[in-house]
Amino acid sequence: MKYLPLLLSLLALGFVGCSQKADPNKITVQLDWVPEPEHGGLFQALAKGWFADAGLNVELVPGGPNAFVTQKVATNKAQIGQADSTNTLLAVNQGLPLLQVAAVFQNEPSVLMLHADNPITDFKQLDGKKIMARPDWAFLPYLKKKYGIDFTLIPFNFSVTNFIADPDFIQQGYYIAEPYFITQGGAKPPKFLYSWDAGFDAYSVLAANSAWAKENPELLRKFIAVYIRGWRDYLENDPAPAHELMKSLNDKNTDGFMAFCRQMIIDEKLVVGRDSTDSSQIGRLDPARYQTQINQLEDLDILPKGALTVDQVMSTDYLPAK
Amino acid sequence: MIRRILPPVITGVLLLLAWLALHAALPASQQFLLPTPVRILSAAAARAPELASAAAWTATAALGGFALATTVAISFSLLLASSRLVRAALYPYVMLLQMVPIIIIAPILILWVGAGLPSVIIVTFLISFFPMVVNNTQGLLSADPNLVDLFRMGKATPWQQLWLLRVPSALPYFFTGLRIAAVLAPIGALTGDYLVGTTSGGNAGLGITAMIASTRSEIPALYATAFIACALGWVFVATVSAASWAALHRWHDSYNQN
Repeated sequence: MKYLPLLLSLLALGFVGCSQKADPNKITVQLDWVPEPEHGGLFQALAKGWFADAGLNVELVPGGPNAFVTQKVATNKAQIGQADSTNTLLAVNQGLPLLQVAAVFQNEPSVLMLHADNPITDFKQLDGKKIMARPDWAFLPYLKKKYGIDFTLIPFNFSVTNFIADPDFIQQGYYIAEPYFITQGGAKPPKFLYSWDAGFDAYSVLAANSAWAKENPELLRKFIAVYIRGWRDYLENDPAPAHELMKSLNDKNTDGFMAFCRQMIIDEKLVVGRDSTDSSQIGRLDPARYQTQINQLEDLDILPKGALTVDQVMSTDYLPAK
Repeated sequence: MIRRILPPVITGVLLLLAWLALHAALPASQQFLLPTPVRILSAAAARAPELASAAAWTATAALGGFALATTVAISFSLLLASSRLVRAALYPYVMLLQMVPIIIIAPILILWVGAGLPSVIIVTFLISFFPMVVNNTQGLLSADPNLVDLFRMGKATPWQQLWLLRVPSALPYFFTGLRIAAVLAPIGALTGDYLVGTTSGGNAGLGITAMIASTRSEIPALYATAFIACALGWVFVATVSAASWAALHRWHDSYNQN
């Protein structure tokens, strides 16, 4: 018992240590995955020194299968994180202080991936099949309900091993990168069923800690302006600065892989928007699409009815004026 | 009786108070990190059917893997204890079975067996098998040498020596291994569910339930899943402890102290 005061003061010290934050212009960004071209805009801006030019001290923290982006941003261990709009929206309903402030991909690039010669061509034919995917992916119950089908779900293991080995295998894929690994593994390029073709259209987003965003609106605006400039430059000009930096952080980033992913992002207009003809949509979020998503999640009983409004989960206030 | 019930109850109340104090000490925006017991209970109640079926599913897998591990461990340890030669030939491979990381076995299992209950049972088996084999074998080899001599002098057959001497003296070891395996089996079933389980027609186990709650930031539900997993482990261990008491308390020293 005589150690109790010592223990308590150590604990207190720990809390103080955690909450210390020296540089007011420091912004930690939690990535959802290891540095790869889906973070191209951030890395291009960082490599070119544009964040520093704007007076921002930006650190990009690599993620992985257990990145827990929403939790890290909600606890302010990172001020901004890259995540998918659906789960970030659901986290707000659980009381996590998060606000979606800019788009990464206009369409969250999680798709269903099938072998090239699989006879399945539409969602209805998935009835009775086995699909490997993230069990939390709201698109799956959405499919079941919309098409009146059922299928068996195998938890996603972030690998394409089973896909390559089994010609009937259907799995979730992040369709920027997975096709590369599959063709490298000897299989023909896969075909895809896109979630947005079924009317389930989520974003990949940057989410900010909402308390931090409210206290630092100017900082966040500056950050987003530089971030958008980074994407535009990465897609339209020489991506070498971002690629060199990403290569130094992740040695699996070969030149071939990064060039492939960047080309996918360009060809599929993931950042600029499928219906866009120029780069003016980069980073933009549409409140109407959020309303649709909220309605869909309510309809699936994943979100209680009336629990969330669009304004609670996203804001366009931090985007540059059109 | 009071002396046996009161101390754990007091500890429980103190832990609960510390929990509530910690929750209250967190800033409002961070209270999601540690939901109150009331919120956890209401989250559990809100999805009671789903959690109940997940618990039943995981319990089935744990029980299946545990039964398989017990059966195989008993037969294997009898084999291993039978001769030095057999031990030398097989033991390294038993070790190997324990060393293979489940996370690497998982995609192979999906290829060979397919995702689902059989694969989850195999994962549970792999996780809980080793401590039992080691303990059983050690037990069978640890019969009192004086009693072994006595059996030899009485011209007992090897069969009699095994059933009347080696197996009874291995029982305390057997139950030690069984108790470790009883802790490991539910953990194995959860891990297995997470790695090689499936959901079809709502048949998911606790591992998948926890995964969904985690990525959707449903933290009260995540805590509820954790408590259910604890309860499941507790039932396993309590059952084995009761069996151990029934088998040993009349003669083994460990039940006669104090």
